[in-house]
Amino acid sequence: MAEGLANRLRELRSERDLTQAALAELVGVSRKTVNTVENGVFVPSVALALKLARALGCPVESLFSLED
Amino acid sequence: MRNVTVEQAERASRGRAIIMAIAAAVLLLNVYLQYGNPHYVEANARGGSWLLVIGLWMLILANGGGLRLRGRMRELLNDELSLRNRAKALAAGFYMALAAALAVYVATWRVEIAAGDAIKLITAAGLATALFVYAWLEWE
Repeated sequence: MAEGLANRLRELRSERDLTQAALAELVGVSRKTVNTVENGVFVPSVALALKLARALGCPVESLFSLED
Repeated sequence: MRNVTVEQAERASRGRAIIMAIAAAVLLLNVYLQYGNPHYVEANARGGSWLLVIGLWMLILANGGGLRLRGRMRELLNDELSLRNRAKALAAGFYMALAAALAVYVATWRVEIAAGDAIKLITAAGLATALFVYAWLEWE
């Protein structure tokens, strides 16, 4: 994970039966952006992190956390 | 149906990457073919075309291209990740232009290089690098 940031994006997205493309559509970004965030390649801005959390219906702190 | 726009944007993004890579290759080829020919750096249409080409690609690189696109498609094409990729590409282009300028400076110790050719070498190296890096980051 980039810069010690862990995320549960893939897990929470799968629980909601959303594809990367569907989540990207909900948030208003490209599918590649969702993919790179999921894989820890790209660290999103606070605004995008909040949008992702809102789209998945969960608090942002349950989606992203700092790695020890 | 909701995914159509995202998929279209993905295709457009790949198309943009291909066009930028081709543009970078053409820029470098132009410099190679025109190097040492004074007709291409004179104050005429041929010499002026370089200004136009460089200016156009600088503009495209600065705003991500797709000038005819509007609304959501443009938003998706130039989202957060794409902006970061562009910033990386511009930084790479800047450093390459500096490196090319130093290389030209050293080369003039041994060979004579016309000012116009030197400027073309430096601008082409910087711009082509930025275009290649952006194309690569958007493609991978």
